[in-house]
Amino acid sequence: MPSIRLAHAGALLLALALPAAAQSTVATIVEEAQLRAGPGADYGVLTTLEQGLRVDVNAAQAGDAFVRLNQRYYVRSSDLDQPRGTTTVQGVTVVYDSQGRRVGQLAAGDKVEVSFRRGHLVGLRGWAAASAVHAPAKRVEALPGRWETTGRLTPGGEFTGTVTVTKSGDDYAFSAELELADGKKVSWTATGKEDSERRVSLEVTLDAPGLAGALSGQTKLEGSGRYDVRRYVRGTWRSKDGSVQLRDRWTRWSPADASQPGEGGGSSSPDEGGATPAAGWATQGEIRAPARALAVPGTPAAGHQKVEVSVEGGKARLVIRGAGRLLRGSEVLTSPVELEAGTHELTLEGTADGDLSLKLEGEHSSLATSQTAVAVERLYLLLFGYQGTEEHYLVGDVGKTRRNIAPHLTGFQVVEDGESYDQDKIDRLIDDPANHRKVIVDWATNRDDLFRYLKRGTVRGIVWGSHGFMEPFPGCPDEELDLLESRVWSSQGSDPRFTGHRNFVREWKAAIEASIKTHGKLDFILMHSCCTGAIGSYADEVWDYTKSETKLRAKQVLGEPLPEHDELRYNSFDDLKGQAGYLKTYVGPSYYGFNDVSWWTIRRSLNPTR
Amino acid sequence: MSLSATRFALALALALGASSLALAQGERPLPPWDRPVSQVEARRVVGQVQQLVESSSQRDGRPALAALGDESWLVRQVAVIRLSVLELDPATCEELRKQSGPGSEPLPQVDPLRKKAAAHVATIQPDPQAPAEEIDELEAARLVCAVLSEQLSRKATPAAQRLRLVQEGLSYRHALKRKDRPWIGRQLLAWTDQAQALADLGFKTAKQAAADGGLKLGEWYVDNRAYLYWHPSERRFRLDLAARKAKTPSAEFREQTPWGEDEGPNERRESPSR
Repeated sequence: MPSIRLAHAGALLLALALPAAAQSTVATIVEEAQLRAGPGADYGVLTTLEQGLRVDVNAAQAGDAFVRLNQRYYVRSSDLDQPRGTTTVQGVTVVYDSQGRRVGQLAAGDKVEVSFRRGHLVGLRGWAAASAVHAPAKRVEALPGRWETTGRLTPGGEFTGTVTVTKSGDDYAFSAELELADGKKVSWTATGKEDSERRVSLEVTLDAPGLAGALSGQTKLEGSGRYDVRRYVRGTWRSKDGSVQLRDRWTRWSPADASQPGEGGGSSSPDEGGATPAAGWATQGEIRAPARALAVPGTPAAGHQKVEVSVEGGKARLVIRGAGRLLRGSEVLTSPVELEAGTHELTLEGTADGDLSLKLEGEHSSLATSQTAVAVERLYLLLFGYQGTEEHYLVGDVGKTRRNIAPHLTGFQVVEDGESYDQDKIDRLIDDPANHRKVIVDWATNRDDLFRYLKRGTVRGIVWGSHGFMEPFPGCPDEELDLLESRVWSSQGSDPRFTGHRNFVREWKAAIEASIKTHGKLDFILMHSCCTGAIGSYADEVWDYTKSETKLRAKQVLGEPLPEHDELRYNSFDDLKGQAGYLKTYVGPSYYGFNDVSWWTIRRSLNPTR
Repeated sequence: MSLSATRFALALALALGASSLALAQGERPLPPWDRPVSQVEARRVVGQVQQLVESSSQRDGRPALAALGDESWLVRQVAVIRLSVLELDPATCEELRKQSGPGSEPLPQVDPLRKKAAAHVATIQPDPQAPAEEIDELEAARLVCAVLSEQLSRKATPAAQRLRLVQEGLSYRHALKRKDRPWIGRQLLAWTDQAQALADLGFKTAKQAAADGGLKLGEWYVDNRAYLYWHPSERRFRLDLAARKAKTPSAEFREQTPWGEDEGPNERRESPSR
């Protein structure tokens, strides 16, 4: 999407793209541009924010500043309380003045212009709402390929074209072919270097023979600039005499995008008109939001809750503040969100401990508010995997474990499948936001369950009980076949009598990291399975329980007879030591109905209020 | 005479009396695990275990230390387990375990390992405020049977000793309240051939089979113990059907008819229970 800036008849024309879903009360600056009519004529600064834009007019300048909406609606700076102050445009929907008053509204894709007039036109800005941006690249590394570009050049008018991006080493090469509505061609090439994951610095050469007349005979432009891949190109490409400058941006070429209209970039004059009038504002509205919500950092969807917003009589604005965010489908909404009349089903996603407030606003008044208490989940996991013929120990083992931990976790809710091993009983309650502190007691934990719990990233303590042993990690490189790693058996489905999967140290360690990111070190980890600490007195059967394919490989690589226990290397669950305040593993056997556990030490490790 | 010796003498007298009475009446003699002497000892061991767990849960290691000299190897094993809970170092625990296996003698006070354990216990400050883990008889029996299971499943344990371990475990039925006795039946199924026992007795589940407190399962064991063989991969006894059909004890039968390469104890399973 190109636009063009010309020093022309005392007017300064400039085009900007408003970023996608540009709404929030937080002013993150994307770029700043001086408002100039020519050398030394400094009228102020136009700042493009991620959330909108702001116009700062120098107090020394005489004359009016205009904010023009939809090519119809004007706000003159002299109409404002502080005509030489700041005018802020927030989002694609609403324009505020420096006092925070709403002075206009926009629909997605509408054009916004700001102009300055002092007896005659001295400055102009034009840009398009980024909600019309088709599908910009998210990262620089995604750029290589072919992109479609549409827009408007001034002079020159509407164009379509393509931009091809290639990468060689660290360098990007851009090649664009544009065609104007009258068939005239403009091409440009550029080289670029990655500044960050979303920005490229560009060196551009532009060839515009078709615009020779409009560009006062100039056909070659060049210069440097930057391309924010999620938004637009920002740069200045000048003719040698400095009279012509160009900005450009492009949209992803794709069949889906091709059906959408081109972005209304490019510059325009304040006298152009004819856009649709702004829609009316809502007079009533309602928010139906939950009183409580869970934040589950590792698997946010586990904490999702429905929010329903009803808007009547026109548009409304939904302001989101605090410990969460809203989604429409998979799209994350940035506050404030414009909502048309009707009922909107949105999704609330908690992100932190605290309150999430929603406020639905009409033109001048608040229509509805809601507040949701968000809390990051805290889980203690008491998990039992494969028991085999020792299934009859489970009642005692689970009971002893629960009795020694759960009562000491004040405020925690126990969620348990019980002797039915019915996973649904846990799944129905684990996401319940009524209590973010839970003790999960799973009597028959299969591998999916295990890693589903850990992936939530909210675990504060773990008890694991099952059979276990040590063996080389299946599929390991040949040089690791003499490295025996502790592993514990999960149950098969929801039946602890049968073996499910072997779950190795490295898998646990990686999965537990998610919780450490959220809550720091776990209070404790109890790995109550044989050989979680070392092979111990099972040394004489060290190879006896190795997976058959692995054992075959070991024989091929290490030779027969296989090495004795003292010729092998080991990796035990002691490797989790840095992940918990207290770690207990077992050297050799770990039976004894959990009477080989120091509950005293585990209870002392508990920090349930953290 | 110590208290335990007195109990032993009393139990022996009772056992002899009961056996004589049974024989005189022409009834089937009581199996070893049901004899009064076994019953008395099972109750004693359970009581000892309860005390060991309770005291050590409050960080008092002295009873566990003293129990290293108990006449029962099971009590000594439990003592080592509880000393490990009190953070006695793993190497010493492992050595103590080895010294306290089936058939071993009580550790004298002068034993270097016991002295080492005593030195460690002396460093522990008891915590009488800590909630005491008061375990019931079932919990204590579970612990005892877990020790038996662990010994039973060890690769180096001789076959004859394995059967003695099972029989020793069965005596703990008498230390349990009636409502808890089915648990011992479940334990017997775990040590032996559950599928075959259920099929022979016409039960669908282990829970049903053990519902009478393990009496029927005990009888099944008496009738079939000669035909059991140890399955190393499954770490439990299985029934040798061919031997039973021939009415010849399995060990004897397999001298004449050896197992095939992938039969019986030679069968390897992909999912060993370890």
